[in-house]
Amino acid sequence: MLTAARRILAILIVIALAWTLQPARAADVKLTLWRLKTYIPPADKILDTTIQDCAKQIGADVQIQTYTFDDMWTKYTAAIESKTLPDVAELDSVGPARLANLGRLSDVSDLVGTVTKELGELAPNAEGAVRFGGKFYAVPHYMIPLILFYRKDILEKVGAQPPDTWEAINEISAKIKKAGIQDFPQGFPWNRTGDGYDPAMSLLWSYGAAWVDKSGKYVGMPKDKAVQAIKVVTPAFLTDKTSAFDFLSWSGSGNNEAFMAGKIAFTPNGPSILFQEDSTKHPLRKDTAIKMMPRGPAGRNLALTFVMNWAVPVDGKQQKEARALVACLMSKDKVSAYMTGSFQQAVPPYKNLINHEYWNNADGKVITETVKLGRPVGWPGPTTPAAAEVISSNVLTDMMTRVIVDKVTPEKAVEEADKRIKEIYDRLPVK
Amino acid sequence: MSKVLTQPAPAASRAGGLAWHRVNRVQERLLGYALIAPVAILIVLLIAYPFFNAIWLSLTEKMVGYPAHFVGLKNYVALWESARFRIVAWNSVVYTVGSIGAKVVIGLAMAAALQKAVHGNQLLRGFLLLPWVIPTVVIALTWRWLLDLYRGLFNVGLHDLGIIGGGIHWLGNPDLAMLSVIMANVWRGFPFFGVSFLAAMQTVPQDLYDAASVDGASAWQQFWRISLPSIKGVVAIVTLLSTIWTLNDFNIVYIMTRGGPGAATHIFATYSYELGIQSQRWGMAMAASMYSLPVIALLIIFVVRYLHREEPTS
Amino acid sequence: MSGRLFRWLVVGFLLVLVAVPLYWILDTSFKTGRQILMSEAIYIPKPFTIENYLYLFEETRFARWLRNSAVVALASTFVSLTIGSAGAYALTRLRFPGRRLFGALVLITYLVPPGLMFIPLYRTFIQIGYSNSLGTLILAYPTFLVPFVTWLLMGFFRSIPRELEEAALVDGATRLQTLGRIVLPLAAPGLLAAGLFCFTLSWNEFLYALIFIADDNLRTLPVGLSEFVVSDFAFWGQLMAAAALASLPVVLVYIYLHKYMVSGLTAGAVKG
Repeated sequence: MLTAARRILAILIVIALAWTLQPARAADVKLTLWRLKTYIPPADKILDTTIQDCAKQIGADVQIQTYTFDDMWTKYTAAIESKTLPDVAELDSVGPARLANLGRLSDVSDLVGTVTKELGELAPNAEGAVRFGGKFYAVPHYMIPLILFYRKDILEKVGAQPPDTWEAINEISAKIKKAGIQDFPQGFPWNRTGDGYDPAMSLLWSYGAAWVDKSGKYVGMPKDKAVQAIKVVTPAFLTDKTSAFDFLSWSGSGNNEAFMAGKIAFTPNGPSILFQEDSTKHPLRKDTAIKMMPRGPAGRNLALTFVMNWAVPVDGKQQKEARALVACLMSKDKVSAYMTGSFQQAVPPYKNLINHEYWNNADGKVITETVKLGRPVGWPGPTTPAAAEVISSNVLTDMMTRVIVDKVTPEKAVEEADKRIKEIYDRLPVK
Repeated sequence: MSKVLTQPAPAASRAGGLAWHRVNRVQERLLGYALIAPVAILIVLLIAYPFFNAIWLSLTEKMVGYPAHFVGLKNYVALWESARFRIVAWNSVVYTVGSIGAKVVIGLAMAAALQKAVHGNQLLRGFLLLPWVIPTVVIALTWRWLLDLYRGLFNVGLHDLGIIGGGIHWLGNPDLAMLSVIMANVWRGFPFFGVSFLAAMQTVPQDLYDAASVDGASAWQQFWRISLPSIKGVVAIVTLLSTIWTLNDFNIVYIMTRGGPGAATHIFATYSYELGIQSQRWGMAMAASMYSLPVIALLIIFVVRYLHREEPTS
Repeated sequence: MSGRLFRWLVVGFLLVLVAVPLYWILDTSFKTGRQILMSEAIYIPKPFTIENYLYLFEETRFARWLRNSAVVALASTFVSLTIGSAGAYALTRLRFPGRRLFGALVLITYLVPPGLMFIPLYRTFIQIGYSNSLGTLILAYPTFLVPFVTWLLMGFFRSIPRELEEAALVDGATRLQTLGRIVLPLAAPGLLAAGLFCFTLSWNEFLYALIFIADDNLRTLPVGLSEFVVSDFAFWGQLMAAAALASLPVVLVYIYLHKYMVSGLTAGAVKG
């Protein structure tokens, strides 16, 4: 008995020794990557798998951290100040402008060159967010367009055509309210989230109220046009009472929930509502339709605020590996896989993929058309730190709420906003 | 050591010689400094230094990622002239006064109601202390959900009871939004007031009440003439502390409304956060916070004077 | 109005006031997403489900957040109690120049609120190169815990008769020995109260945890909770389940020890 036990013990010891003495693996390069937590969990899973696959491919160990649209800048602010930006950073539409201006991003023009060879030409409207002084500081990954959701069935009930202008939305909402179908059909949330400032830009630009010229330099907010634009959307709250005040509160989820709860007939949002309805087998899915955001007298100038890009901050000590990771993430099969797994949320702004079979359906067409027509933050100029701050400081939506909540005249609200914008551009001059 | 607790203190403590006392003094001093050192270090490094840093920052234009450069009082002036900031300052006052007022009243009512030693009072007091224990984040989120326009308990309940037709815009209507955040603050804070007042009231000698009863005073009169005056000091302190916390409260407003709709519920701390993190302007954010300091300083002076007047022996 | 009626009215009102939100948390936490979205079965969940609770542990980092909060709360409590009791003893029992001034200073620092300090404090941590770690919070929390603990314990220490210590000193004990063997044991209720305070305040703290910690793995509960609502779609069911579980530890600790918490509040407010 004892000898058997001893034998077993000996074997165990040998195994243990063998295990501890195995040659150490070549020290893995350790990379950190920050990515957005999107509204579509399955897409997130695909991206994570892709990242880990790429990590294995280049022989690195990648630690992924996530952030949401809400806490993105809290996280990045911390990293900027403490000089601890990640090796690979997924940035939004204003991130590259801000960070490049601080000199914190590496030049990735060569990477973009490689990517466009595989994926096709980069859409020109995608350059504004990532190309400064002729160089690329981030590689565009995908865009989430903001589209107009509406209730097909309710519009039919009141005999209305899908609206093409902002005024049309007002008229139809009034009809819906009058018919007693919904109390507050018009769900435009002029709040401090993307669902607020994206339509705000689209609105102002569709009335010709842009405050910069083609070079991005401040020229002043065209007062009349801005006032005209404001006067179109504020009556919904003030006189027509077709919009609920609650949409002015902060949450980006309020309008989604209200739409899916059947309380509103119109709302601007990314394609995620479609996903949420599909995944919960929602009864309203068959009645949910999408359209491009409305046009105004100056045309249809839609804002592209949800643009995700990969950047390589200079803080990281493993520039070569980081770039290799990005190159892998942006290879054709990986980007296609993400696109087709995104429930129509992600549109990579490259020719071959925008025109992909995947988008060849009614909804898909609306989505890609929006992306094709989209304008970068800072239009008609490129995205600049000043333009970024105009958005992040909520100047535009504050302008709206000054009129709606504080009952200030549109003229005064525009004047205040213009003053704030000028102050920002004075502080962050455009080179 | 147990000897110490059973024997009376020896009268010989005075004897023992001056030398012993002198050495002891020095030892005492050294020990004093040694024991106070950790607190001192904490205060100097992590409270005083950042505080003066904050003052310095408020005099600079410091944007995230850029170096700071001195601009004097520019930030303060800009805020003073900003309509939005004036709204923030006013909101802070309304929020604080409203919350504190309600908490004092409810606290006094709670103390008066639980004063008599009744069976189950302990349990009751324990239950009523729950809001103070639950994480503020939970409270803020719960109240947000309670006040949801279409599906919150309040609107659904009121609707089912037939009291209202459509929904009340608790968080969308600017005035109601302020009321809503005040409600959440009061819900969270009233137990602190109630329990402190109750404890203070229980130190009032019963004979005073008995004498008053004999004289024919009603319970109400007894409360006004005996209980209330006796706990004035505690009321003052608790009110002061809570005012300072509430004036710079962050969680509740941030989570319920982010300061909206518009700037209807923006207060100092949330506005400072917006300036610092969203607009990335740290200098400006600090200047905004600093505006609340004079109010706090005045309050402290006022209350300390009041306490000294009431209790000259303190 | 008779005293009795008044009492019943007030007690009734307060009970309802406290119970309603608590009920709403639990009610929602046991509903399915669909029920919540479509406003079905408002008052009592039907169907009743625990899927939200399961989701927390299967799909989110809830367990991690729980652990982080526990670590930070316990460590901060320990640090604050140690520093605070040492300071309180020195301020009430020992004589040294500057004592009065220092006592006042400690109390004044309590009045500098986190809502004001978060950016400069954060900058300080960045400057010393120690940010984005649980240790950062463990260093930061005492800044608002220690002054309060000191104040609270000063009240308690003062209520302990000096004679006990003096007798021991004459017997040959050192100051530290009297601190450890006489004062602290007698002040145990005060320490417990102060400890509960520290734990509760640390467990609940949100702003510093939001700003100082960037790492997903180091998130504490309050910040993790707020994550549920920031996305495009608020998962109220899971959020309320998380809220219930996040409150549970403090509520449990407190149920057993609330007597001490109350006497602690008392001592602070009344005697301090």
